[in-house]
Amino acid sequence: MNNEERLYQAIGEVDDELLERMEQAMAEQPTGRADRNRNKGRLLWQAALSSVLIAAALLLIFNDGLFNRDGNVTYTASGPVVDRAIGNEPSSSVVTPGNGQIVYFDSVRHAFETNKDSRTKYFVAIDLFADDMPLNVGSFDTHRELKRLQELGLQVGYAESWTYQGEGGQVDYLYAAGLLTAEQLKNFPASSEYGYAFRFATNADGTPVPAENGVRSESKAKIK
Amino acid sequence: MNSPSSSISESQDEKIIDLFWHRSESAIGEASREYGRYCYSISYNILRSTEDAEECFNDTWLRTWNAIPPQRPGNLSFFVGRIVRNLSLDKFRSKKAKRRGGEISPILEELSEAIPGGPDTESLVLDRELGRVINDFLRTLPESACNLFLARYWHSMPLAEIAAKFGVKENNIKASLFRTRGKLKEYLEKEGMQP
Repeated sequence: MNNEERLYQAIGEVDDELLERMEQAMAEQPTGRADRNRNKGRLLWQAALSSVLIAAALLLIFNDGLFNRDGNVTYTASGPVVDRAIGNEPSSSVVTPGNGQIVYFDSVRHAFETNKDSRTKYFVAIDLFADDMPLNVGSFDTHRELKRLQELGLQVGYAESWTYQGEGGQVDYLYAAGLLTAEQLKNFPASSEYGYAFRFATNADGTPVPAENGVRSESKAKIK
Repeated sequence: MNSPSSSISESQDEKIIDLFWHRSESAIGEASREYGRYCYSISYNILRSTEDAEECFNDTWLRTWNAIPPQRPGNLSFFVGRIVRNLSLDKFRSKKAKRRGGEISPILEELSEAIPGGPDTESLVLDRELGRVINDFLRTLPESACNLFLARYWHSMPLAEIAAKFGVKENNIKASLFRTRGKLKEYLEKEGMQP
């Protein structure tokens, strides 16, 4: 090992405290310029993925026109919040968004396009992806991205749903969620590092997660 | 990418470390899920080879398995980050990856400027002692200069990525790193870290 390599290796042993300070400084900076530094291959890959997504979107619109002309929106009793809508839900494999891309499940799009009240908020699950892979809700990336969106004034965070566990038991779990207006959904400030899919969340038995459950800014400890 | 350092990840860290500690095989899957992307990006920065980065990435979990216990890291992300960084340096050395144009070649060239007596001297006074001196040196730097130094020489980030992460122009980063390397050389000399 030569001296440069020894020096490089020794730098690897710096205190965690200094590394944490650096990570914190990086996390506090807005992203954006990173986009311009991505390599051409990545751009080509994204362009190809965009084509696939556009084709998938056109297919879904076509299907919607054929089978769901009277899209039915259900409102909660408590106020101008939409937390569910009836529509064609594509499978998640179809709508995996690439980095910087946004996909609205059909029911979400239908809800905000048919409801003209600009004050209405939509209680949506936000599925985050990075490089085509879904992000764990407990991951640092999810936390950091939600924090960024919160700092932009969006009411996003964590909401609670439940699923089955064991023999008939139920267990709660958290997912990323938002209470967003149609305007905020349409002009969502996507980061180039992540893909976003918006859908109305359901519990394991198919019942919608009610908007009354709310969105909280921190995850606390309950992470599936 | 940043490493996890939030309260969420701290609790996740403890959970994963406990799995390793109790020899649960799910520890590797959990660690990989939580820190896989982070470790891969460190290795890929160094090697610029998908195949080699994947190999280092996979070896990281075995090394972690063998290290915990007896070790119990305070911050799991930096712990696995160090492991994958060292594995990647070993891979670089064994495969002479300089030809591939990974970030490590320019980084080592840059670091040669910080070595007392120049890069051709036989051997820097080493290794544990050197680590301590570097820690002490970094604490003498302004925070911003220290952060840029670590982004470049700990994370092995390309300059363009550092510019994006910190919102600083590349030229300013180069200038800061240049000054810091000069200061490091002086500091190493002052501390007797020379052949």
